Amino acid sequence: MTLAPAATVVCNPPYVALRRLGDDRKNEAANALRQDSKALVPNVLKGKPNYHLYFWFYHLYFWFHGAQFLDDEGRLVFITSGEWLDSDFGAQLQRWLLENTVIELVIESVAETWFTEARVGTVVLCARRCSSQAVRDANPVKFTTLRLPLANLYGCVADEDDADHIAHVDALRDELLTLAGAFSETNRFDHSTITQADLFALGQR
Amino acid sequence: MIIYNGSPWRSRFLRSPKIGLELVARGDFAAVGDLGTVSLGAKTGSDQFFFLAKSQARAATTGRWRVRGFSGWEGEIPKADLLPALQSPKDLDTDRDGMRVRLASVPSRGDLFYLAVRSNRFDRVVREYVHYGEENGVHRGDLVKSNAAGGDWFRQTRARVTSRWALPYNSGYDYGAVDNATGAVLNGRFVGVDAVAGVDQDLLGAVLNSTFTMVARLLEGVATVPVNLDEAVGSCYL
Repeated sequence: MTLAPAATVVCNPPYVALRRLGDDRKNEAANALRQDSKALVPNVLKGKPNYHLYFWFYHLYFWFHGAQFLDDEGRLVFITSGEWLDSDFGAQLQRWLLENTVIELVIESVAETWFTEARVGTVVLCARRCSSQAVRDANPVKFTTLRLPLANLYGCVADEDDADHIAHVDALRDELLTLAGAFSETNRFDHSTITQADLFALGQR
Repeated sequence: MIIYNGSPWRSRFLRSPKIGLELVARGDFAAVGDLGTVSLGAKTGSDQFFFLAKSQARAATTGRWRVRGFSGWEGEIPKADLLPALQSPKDLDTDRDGMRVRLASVPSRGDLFYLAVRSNRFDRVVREYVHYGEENGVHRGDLVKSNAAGGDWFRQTRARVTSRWALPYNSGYDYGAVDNATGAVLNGRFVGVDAVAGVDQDLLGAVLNSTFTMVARLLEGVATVPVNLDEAVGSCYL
């Protein structure tokens, strides 16, 4: 079956270390990428399995594979465990996002757990495919730490209908995407903004 | 070729108080990374084999230490095949007059060694210990093989980190920078820090133990993957 290019891929992949998987599942993941466009697969996955993969989390495969379904400016919206943001193995994903997308928004909540069964902190990242380095470099990457539960931030009211609810969600989305200044702290949320070029440079030290 | 090492996005941009970003932006801000070089301690692939503890009993032969190693093995290994080592921050805790004391420097006569088998000599007791390790499959570990770089599996070729200052890798440990003037081999629970040219080593130690740097480590020096520390790999961002 051939799918038309998608505007958005939304994904909540499994949070599990690659080494915890059986060979069948690992081969399945590797084969999926083997059939994908090589342009969107990081070099580390094109060769033979290596030592570094031992530390990877399975969800990394879903990013690279998910991107295959996007149109040229399609969005990836992923909710994952957040440890990759600070990990050596996550540097591969950081670089891939920096070189193939504009990273629009990274969100973490310190007010609530989004998955009660998950033992790790979860992070939402929204990125849009982009082939222009100039656009990527100039892009302001926004990191937001939520200090209130989503329901409070949405400002939902009892018995609101779906249209109202979606309007509330959209309003928060727009507010987060248009935050101004390098950083701020409020009772609702904190934010930091850094250009994608500076973010890349930070990882080159 | 473009090198990309990564940076701590969550620690810096999501979790740190914004005052940290304000300070970093100041013209007179100096990153610790500008003052010292940082190296991750040894990832042996089998700490139980490569790190040996001095035994209570004295060695019967001069020039040897009686040590305990992998899975209870005990024997007398030549001092020339053993280097002083620091394996865990907890090794710095000691009892003194009934009180638990945390050492600020690595003892010059410690009780822990790293097995560094000489390239030109293969002592009979070392051979016995190596054989014991092989019987238990130590030599089959991926990291053990990787560290040997195709040579004898028990001669690890990765650069040993013996930096002047030792910092616990996991900022969750309540320890500062430990003076490692004795040159103990650090294992992967530590990162080693040495002053760059033009920076005084003692001054670097004072900086590393300053309140400000300690706080910064808590903000950015984070554990990486949620597995036990023997398996963890990552960087300490200074």
